[in-house]
Formats: sequence, structure tokens, C-alpha cells
Amino acid sequence: MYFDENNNYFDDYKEITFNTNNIEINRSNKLYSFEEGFNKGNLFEDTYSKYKNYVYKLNVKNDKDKLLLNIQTHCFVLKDLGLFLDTHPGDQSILGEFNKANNKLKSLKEDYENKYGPLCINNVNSNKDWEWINNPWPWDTGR
Amino acid sequence: MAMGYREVIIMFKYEKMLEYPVNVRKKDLRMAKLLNTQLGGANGELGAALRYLSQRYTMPDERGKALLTDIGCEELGHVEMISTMIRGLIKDASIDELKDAGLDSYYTEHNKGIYPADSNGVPFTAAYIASTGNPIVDLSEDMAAEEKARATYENLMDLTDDESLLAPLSFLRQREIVHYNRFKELLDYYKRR
Repeated sequence: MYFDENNNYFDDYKEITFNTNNIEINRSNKLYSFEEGFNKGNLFEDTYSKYKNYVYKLNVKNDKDKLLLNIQTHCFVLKDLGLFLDTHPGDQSILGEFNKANNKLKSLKEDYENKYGPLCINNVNSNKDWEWINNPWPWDTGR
Repeated sequence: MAMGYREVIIMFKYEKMLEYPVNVRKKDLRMAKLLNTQLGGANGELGAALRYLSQRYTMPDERGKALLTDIGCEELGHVEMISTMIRGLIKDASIDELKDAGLDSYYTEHNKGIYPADSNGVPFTAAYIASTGNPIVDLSEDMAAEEKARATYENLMDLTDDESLLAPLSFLRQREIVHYNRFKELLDYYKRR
């Protein structure tokens, strides 16, 4: 395989390699629940690889952190499905999951930001105080 | 927009939250020192972010430009997670405790500030990353980098039994596996073309 970076093209030479592509195609792409995928760091059952049986479950105490955890979970889902779609842009089933999670995330973020202040500077929603600076910042709470 | 939710597109946006929560329960200067390698070490998250966000400019198609941008941004979130862990582990330490943990030299240079160096105090250098302008070469390096980071996370997980550290370390380790798979898919796709 040869890539000519000056002319931005792949030459016609095909290297002879063991074809692993069929393995990719036959993958089921079965997803964990959003919560379980977030706890594991991977939404895709087929590619999850554990280390020494470590699996952790996140627990939170108050309503604010519970809502934030739900937002983090949905952000993670968008991130993980988004990476998958970058290399599988034609996968309609995963795209459908992405859109569902994206709609849910929008309503969760709106709910959180109305109650507790902005997560993103373009959602500052105050006429008197500059609420963007308000504590806590993520490294204060670890959230 | 639906539900009246304002969404303005600006780059780069900071979201005031971690990718995955970090609930450091107690100070642990030994682990703070060791974790620093995933901030500013050869296989650390800062190097990963710079590697992919530099390499993306010479990716040959849409898939490559998107994937390196998206993974590069996620790595910046990992820099923030590791930094938050180190901050939590070190913030309540006394001078004597810092001395006992061998962090007096760190304190001399940085006090309790976060600084991208490895666990031996060697400062971060861009020599840890490659950007060759060739997507086949770069993606091969990226796969190796993800594997090296995964191995480093496993070493760190071997060195603690604190669940409040193991949970984010386990998450971060798994992300290396996911990124490796995506880079491999892209490399295989380019090789098939």
C-alpha cells in the first residue's frame, strides 16, 4: 500500500493481506444500554474488553448530580456512536440511535441549564449577573 | 429550534462538565505522581490530543478528517479528567507528606499546580508525537499510541485498589480500545481503496 501525500492519492498496488474485513461486516453492533455502556466506557458489546473483571457503577446522591450524570451519559452515547458513524457513515440503525440520544440530550440540557446554570457559554441565560463564572467548575466537584 | 433551545455553533466550545465523573475520595500522593504520566508522559492524553488534532489536516477524506477531529477533542476531555484526578489527590497534602512521597522536587517547580510531565518529572515534549502527512503512517502510529496508553492504564490499575480511581481509569482504558478499533477500521478502509 502506498499513499502519495503530495498528490493525495492511493496507488493501484494492492497488498496481499489476510482479509479481516468480513469480521467487521459480520459484527452485530449490538449496543449496551446507555447507562451500562457509559459505566463500561464502550457501547458496543462485541468490542468491549474488560480488565481483571473491573466494572464500576456510578452512583450519585442529589437531583442535580443525577441530572448531570444523565447528561454525561447521553454526551458519551453521542461521542461513542459518532466515532462509529465516522467510519460507518451509512449505518442507518446506529444513526437512528444517535438521533434519539441527541434529542434526549437537548431536553436534558435545557432542563439542567434552566435549573442550575449554563454548561456551555452560549447557553448563558441571565440579564443581570454573569453566571458563567459561577462555581463549581468540573475540577472542584469531579463532575 | 425545537423546544426553543438555543444552540449557537462556535468552535471550540467548552462544556462545564467532565466526560466521566471523577470522585477522588482521599489524598494519595503516590498515585498523583504516577498518574501524571497520563497527563504529560510519552503515552499520555495531552500527546494523544495534539497528535490527532495535528494529523487531521492531512487526512485524505471526510471519514479521516471527522474521526481524527472527534477523537482529538475527546482526548482533551481525558486531559481534563486526569488533571482533575491529580488535583484531587494532591490538594490537601502537607509539606511533610509531599516530602515523604518524593514530591518535594515537584513542589519546588510547580507547588501544587498541574503540569504536563511524566511520573518522573520529565516535561512533556512534542517529540512524543508524529505527524508525517501520510495517513497510512499516521494511523499506524495512532493505533500503536492507543495500545501503549491502554497498557499504561493497566499498569496504573495494577498499582491501586482505590475504587474511586479504578472507575475512571477503567473508563479511560476502555476508550483506548474503542479508539484503536476506529483507527483500525479507517486504516483498513484506506488500504482497501
